[in-house]
Amino acid sequence: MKKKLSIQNIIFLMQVIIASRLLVWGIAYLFTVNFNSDKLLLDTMCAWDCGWYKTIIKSGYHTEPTTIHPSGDVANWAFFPLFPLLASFISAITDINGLVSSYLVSNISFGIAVFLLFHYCSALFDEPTSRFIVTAMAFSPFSLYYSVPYTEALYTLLMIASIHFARSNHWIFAGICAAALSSTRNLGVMIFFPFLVLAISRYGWRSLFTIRPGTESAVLALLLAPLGLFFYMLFLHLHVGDAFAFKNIQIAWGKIPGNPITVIYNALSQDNTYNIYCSFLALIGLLTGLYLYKNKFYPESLVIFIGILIPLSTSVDSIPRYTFTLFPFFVALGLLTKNKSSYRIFILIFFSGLSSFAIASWVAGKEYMI
Amino acid sequence: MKSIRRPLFFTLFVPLLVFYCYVTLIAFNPNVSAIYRLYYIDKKLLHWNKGRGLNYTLGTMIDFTKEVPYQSRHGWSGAEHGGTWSNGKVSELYFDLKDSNIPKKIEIVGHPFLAPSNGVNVQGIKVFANNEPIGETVLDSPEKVTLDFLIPNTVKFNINDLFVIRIQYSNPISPESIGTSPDSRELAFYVEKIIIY
Repeated sequence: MKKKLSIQNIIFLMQVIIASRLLVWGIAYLFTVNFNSDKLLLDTMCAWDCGWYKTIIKSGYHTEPTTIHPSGDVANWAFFPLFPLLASFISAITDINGLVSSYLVSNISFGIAVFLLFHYCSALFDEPTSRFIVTAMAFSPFSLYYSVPYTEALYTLLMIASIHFARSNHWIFAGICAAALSSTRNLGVMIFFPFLVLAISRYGWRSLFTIRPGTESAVLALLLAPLGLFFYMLFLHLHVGDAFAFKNIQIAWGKIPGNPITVIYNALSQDNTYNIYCSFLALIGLLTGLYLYKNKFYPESLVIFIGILIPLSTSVDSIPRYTFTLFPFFVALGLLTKNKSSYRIFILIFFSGLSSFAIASWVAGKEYMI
Repeated sequence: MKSIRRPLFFTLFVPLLVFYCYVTLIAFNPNVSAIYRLYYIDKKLLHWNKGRGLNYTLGTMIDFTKEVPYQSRHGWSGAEHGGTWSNGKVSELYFDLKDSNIPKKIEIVGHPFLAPSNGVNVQGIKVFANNEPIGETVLDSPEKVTLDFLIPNTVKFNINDLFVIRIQYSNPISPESIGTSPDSRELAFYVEKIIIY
């Protein structure tokens, strides 16, 4: 079903990108000017974790824990290097300041991700479904994260690229994207498992594990997946003495790994609206993963399960953001609403409305948006 | 093209594997301070204390009405007006005695949690120094006591290692479970101060 990208589709995708970003930036601008006017728009939109990326872009990684938290036990090691590196690189070659560069990385990554997602969907679905999937992603309530200096846009782009290249048997490209993915976020290395599923389904496990002729590219892709992470680990060992510092520093945020089922059960049992909201969305996300599995989208369902269960092992915080910026969620939505155009219209309208609320909440600095 | 694919593959395969093995090896042999290891890696220490270390001079009173930097992550409640409750079966304290002589005695001042009307008549306390038992006692009165435990010569000290005191309780119990209050902490002993001589 693979098709070349037609002029009409190129125009459509550009319209989706421009319209969705106008929505995000337009609402953000209106709310900043009217309710947060003591700050500039770009400073307003750089909230929460963005501050940490700013420290990396400006001064690099900490050599020891700092007093940014009152307990004095926190450092920026939890934030992986590719995103701030790209921002620093753009800043260095263009003389644009680091914050603006980070916005450029996010928004350009998002634009490319939209095109790549459409290309990926075109190989699997009909045109209306492919169009709906990219539109849903672009207008989703969590799409604002693709425009702020967070890793969501870059991570999504590299995730789509990895899976798409692996599915289409371009394993070397898949491996390179996977290596970049594993240097973007701590979960990026887990792309190894969807790759394994794809490789086994294509070659069989025996051929793969004995590296029979013809499987070399797939095996190399699997080997390349952790490369970004391991380079970062080597850097951390040389810089602070602890290669696992990216994981060990999580204790400063009170995150100690546990059982995700216990975490979600405890969160649902508490009289805390935010915890219940996050838990509920986590369950929706997991159901989405099951739906994709049932429809034989095994690598995509693994992306969902890994993307939810691992963060859920520490807490329910930020689960909505982690779940609903994963591209397979929108793939599931496209599958679910196949031949139901009225449902799709309703979803897009609902998304746009919720998106406005999300952007306003972000500008207002609401903690439930972390 | 196919004839060079396999040699090319192994040209990349081997260095990648070697690199991963090397990084894994150094990852499991971190080059960090004792306090970093205890707080971030072993996750045994309760307070980072801005990395000031666990230095302790023999004879100094450790005041449990304030945040105590030597406390283990598990086994302690928060500092209160008069001291700190233990929470659970075991509490630990970690000390860096690099600049001190070998300790000879531990003095613990506090009072046990008892609820005779609910069957909690006694509280047993056993103290270990560097994993060796150095004494135990059974408390059957809720009054404040001063417990002295001598550290025998058999306790091994290494100048580069931390000195660890472990206090084990025989009967920690939550007031909630015996219906005296909604406090769910497993209380055994209320420590006011500790001095190591």
